Amino acid sequence: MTDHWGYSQTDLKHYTCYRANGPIVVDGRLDEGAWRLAPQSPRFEDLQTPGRPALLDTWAKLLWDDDYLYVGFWCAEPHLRGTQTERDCMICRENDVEVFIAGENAYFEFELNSLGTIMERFYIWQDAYVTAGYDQLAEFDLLAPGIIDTLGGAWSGHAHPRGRRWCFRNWDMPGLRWAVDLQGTLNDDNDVDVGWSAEIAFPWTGLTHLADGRGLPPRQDDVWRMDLSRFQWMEEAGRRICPGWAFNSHDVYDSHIPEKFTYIHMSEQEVSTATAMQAVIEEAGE
Amino acid sequence: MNEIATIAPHTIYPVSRTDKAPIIRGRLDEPMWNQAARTTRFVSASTGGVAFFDTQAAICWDDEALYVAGWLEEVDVWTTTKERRGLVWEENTFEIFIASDGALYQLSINPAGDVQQLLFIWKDAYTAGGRYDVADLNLAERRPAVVGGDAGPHHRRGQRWLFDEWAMQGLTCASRVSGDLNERHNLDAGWTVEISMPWSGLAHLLDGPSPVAGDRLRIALARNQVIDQMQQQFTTCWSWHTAGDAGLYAPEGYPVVELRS
Repeated sequence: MTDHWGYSQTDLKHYTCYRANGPIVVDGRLDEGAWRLAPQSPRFEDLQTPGRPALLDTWAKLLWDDDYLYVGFWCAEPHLRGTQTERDCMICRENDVEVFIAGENAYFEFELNSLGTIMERFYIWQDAYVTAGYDQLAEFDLLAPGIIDTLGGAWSGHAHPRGRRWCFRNWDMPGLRWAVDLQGTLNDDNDVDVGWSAEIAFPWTGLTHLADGRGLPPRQDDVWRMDLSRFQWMEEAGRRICPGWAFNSHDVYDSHIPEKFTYIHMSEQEVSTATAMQAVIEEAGE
Repeated sequence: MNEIATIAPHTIYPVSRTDKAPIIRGRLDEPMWNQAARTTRFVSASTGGVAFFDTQAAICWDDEALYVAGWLEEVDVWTTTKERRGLVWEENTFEIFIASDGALYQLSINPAGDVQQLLFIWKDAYTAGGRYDVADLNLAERRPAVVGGDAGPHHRRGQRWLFDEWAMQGLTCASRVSGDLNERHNLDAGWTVEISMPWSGLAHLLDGPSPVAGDRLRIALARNQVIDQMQQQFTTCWSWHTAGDAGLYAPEGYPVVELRS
């Protein structure tokens, strides 16, 4: 993947993920001291157009400990909305936040709405299904019951020069935890809401099929590629559109390009005022 | 010249047996094509309404192969062979669909004679060690797409594996233009197609080794036509039978043809 399939790496963003300095309670509120000290991503930018800021303030933070990778989102939102409650339904038909975590030959997709409903999918590049050994794993048996789909190709969208991905729609990450916290009233457009936050704990053991030799939990200077984004439906003047806002742009309206995912640099340092200061200095230097 | 019978899609089309295999040139000048029954004029696949260009087809067979001919009226025969969206070229094509209980084969051919082939296997028919679990349909190696899940065409029977790089062994096809291909400012008469599908190449679609008189097949015949008027471009589909909302990927609606001695 050294040529990144022709996708430029130059405008991609980098983030240092520090260790939490205490326990994280997954309740949707990013109120632990560790969250306050963790570096805050820049305001998300348009998925298609680099440098164009998200219309509504959106940012993410990441932390980790021996058991979990933690992702926190903040989404400013004057009209909190959400109706879907069925797990693994098409969450992205409504407002959501999304996390993609990539390995060399596979990636995981996670979507979460303001009701706390999630969708998970596990994708394996068809060109690596056999060579990377996924065909030997029972959970990725192509003839197993359940919904196995494909992504990519002219008719389903998400075309990628690498080809198609197998899509395991029934795959669940064991031990995954998540919560949302709403500041406002859901599905009531008569008042102005503040927004919502999300807190997700991805167990390192759940990332086994994406690790490619990286430590679980991670080691100093391990690099992971992740896409952190938000999709926001807008109905204005008789039109309905759904812009995507992400930690860094993909240059196209397509989340499914691991080569455009943000670089997450793992640090064994605990968050502290010193790391917070370091983040400020690094941001100023960019 | 004899009056050529035309067969409506709701009756059983008689596939006449030919003593002499055609030379596949697209000319359709062998006597067999003047004797075989022709389909009724194609109609709008979705509504059954009249299609404004005349389109007909005919089918013959012998012990070696199934032969299909198509006559397509067209005032402006063109192709770029490049534009493709979805399962078909977004260009003018003649199309054959052959369905069996477990599989569906689609062939598209354009005026330049370029061919696109798709082979669908219903997921419920594809079992480990079953008749489709063979080398040319190995899931891990052949890397099919899946349709009927996130991507269409959808069908109440469920999902299908779509082998979009599968190629029929022994297939021969030709198109012939009556007019000037890609000359957009003169009037053309149309184009014809001629296709030979050997029974050996159709093995995934057949239940027995080699067909005999009396055997029946489900076959749909269609034509994709680009409408390019008033700064708009879209594709319409004309077919022998009216597919309706179910569409051309719903084989239960296909016409039935019967091999005759």
